[in-house]
Amino acid sequence: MNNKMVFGQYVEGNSWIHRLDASTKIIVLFFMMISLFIVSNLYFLLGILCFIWLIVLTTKLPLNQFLKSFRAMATLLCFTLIFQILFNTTGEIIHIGKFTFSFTFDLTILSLIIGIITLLLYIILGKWIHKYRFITFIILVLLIFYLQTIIHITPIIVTYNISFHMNAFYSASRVFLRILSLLSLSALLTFTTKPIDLNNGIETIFHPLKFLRKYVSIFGMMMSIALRFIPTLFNESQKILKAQASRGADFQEGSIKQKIGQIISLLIPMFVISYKRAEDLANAMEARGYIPGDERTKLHITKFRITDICSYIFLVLFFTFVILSKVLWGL
Amino acid sequence: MAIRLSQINFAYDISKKTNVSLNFTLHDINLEINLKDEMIAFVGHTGSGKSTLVQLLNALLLPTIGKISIEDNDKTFVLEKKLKDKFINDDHYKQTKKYRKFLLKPLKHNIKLKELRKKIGLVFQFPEYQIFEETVLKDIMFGPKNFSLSNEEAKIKAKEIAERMKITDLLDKSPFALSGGQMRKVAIAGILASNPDVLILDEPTVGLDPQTKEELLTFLVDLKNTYHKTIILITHDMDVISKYIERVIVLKKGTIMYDGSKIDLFKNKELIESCNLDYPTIVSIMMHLKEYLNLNDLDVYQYNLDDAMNEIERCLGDNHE
Repeated sequence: MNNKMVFGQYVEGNSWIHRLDASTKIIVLFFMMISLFIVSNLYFLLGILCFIWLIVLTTKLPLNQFLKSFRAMATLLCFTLIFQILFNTTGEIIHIGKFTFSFTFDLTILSLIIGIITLLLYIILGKWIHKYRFITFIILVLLIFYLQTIIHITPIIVTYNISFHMNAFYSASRVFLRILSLLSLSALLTFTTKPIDLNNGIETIFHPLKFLRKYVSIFGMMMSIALRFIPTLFNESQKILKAQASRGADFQEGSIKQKIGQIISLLIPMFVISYKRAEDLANAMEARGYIPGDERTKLHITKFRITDICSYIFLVLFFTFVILSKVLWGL
Repeated sequence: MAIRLSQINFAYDISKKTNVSLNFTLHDINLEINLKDEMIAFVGHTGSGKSTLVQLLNALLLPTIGKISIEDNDKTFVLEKKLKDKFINDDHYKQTKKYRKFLLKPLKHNIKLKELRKKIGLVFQFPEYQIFEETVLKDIMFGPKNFSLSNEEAKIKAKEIAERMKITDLLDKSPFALSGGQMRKVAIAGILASNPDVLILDEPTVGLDPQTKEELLTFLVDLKNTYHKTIILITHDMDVISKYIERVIVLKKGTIMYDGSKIDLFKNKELIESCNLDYPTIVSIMMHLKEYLNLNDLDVYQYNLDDAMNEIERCLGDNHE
């Protein structure tokens, strides 16, 4: 039905990163990632992030799409930051002038009741707030905490203290920078490399493992077939969904219990069709002379360009610099 | 007692960006189909929108704009999404983002689509997409059970249908051990078991041997005659149409080009050519005869062998005299 559905995030382009050999990209990416964990200096990390984003800019990728790819990880990132900030209690407390970031809260019966009522109201009324749901939620949470600082009526359940420390701030930003850099790097790879090329790249990297080579090429073939068939199988699943819906299987209107029962009616045809396809494909491949593990010529022979060599030279220099700076100056 | 489609437009992908052109699969479809005693064929080139139209009838897809109403004795289902009257001919409005947003809005309705699907059953082309149970019996029972029949009732229903379709010997077999023709029969039985008023079949005769094909089609005709159901077929086979079908609906690029009897359709030479349709075998043989033997008064539009023989004899007899 939907022909647009393509697996992966590849964006058509012709920048120098696009033209780099996939194996070069993978190797450089791998060592860059390692170096991200060796470096612990904040400014150095920031520099690396800026450098990565500079490279992203040279590829002329659509930036909004690039930023969108972080969305999936945004919640994880937020949680890590919140935990880092709340639970790291070493170093001095942050203060701006006389104002110190240290708060004492009293959880009283009254504020507890107010909190529960607000939560219930939010759950019930939340259906009508579509646009600003998340923001309302945050405001409500902050309000509840604020109430705890001002209400001090006697039946106090527990008194607790939250303070923000300097080290927490440092470690949180370190984690933030690292994760952001990692995401940018992997996004850079997947945005500029087709899944098939990626697969070829992995195959090239494992090429030196001669004694395993047969398995490497088989594995590569398996990977590329699997990637190729994801959209196809997705289409098939849509067809099955429709066929069962016309028999009254209710995937949209029914209760959850019904839905779970009806998933079987989706899964079994899916398996049957996949097996059938796999068998047909195997026969078709054999009919065209494919022998697993045998020597095959490649359709796209990867050329080693000057940019590849430059990338490797840069990588060696960069990595030695990272290690030297760690050993000599402890950055 | 009819399904009415009025001003149906349908598009699969609608881009929010106004510089991407809109691709409607169906344009302004108006159609009325009785819930009783009809035998209809949808005909058209690949990509003409037949399958989409059929899925709209079954509410598997909902119209982008337009109204579908299904009137029955006890209940009327209405699915409607209407463009405001003042915008209908407003080309400027149709260039705006607001129009795209309107198109993207899903159709809102307060009916249970499941009930609608109980009235109108759709059999897809490939039975593998729906068969999943351990035995044929259980698979046929799946539909009725979804439409809230008890286990026992569903079993009785399934056995009744199996008897009618002459597949009682298959009931205890695994559906995956069947041949293609048998599988298709089981798939049709699976839909029929929920007793729909309208049965829609997407290319039911493809890949069947001539005998099974014959059996299946006579069964469908019988279904219409005895149980007063409406049967809708999608087919490319003009012989099937000439032999079994009464009303033909021709689609081309998402619009209805023709809706009427088969006899008028085959007389309309221009339409046949512009829609890339064939003539039934008998008619094309008769046409060749007419051309080669210069039989000017031969009536080529014959739809069964006996009539064709009689017509040839009549014509040749006239000439000999």
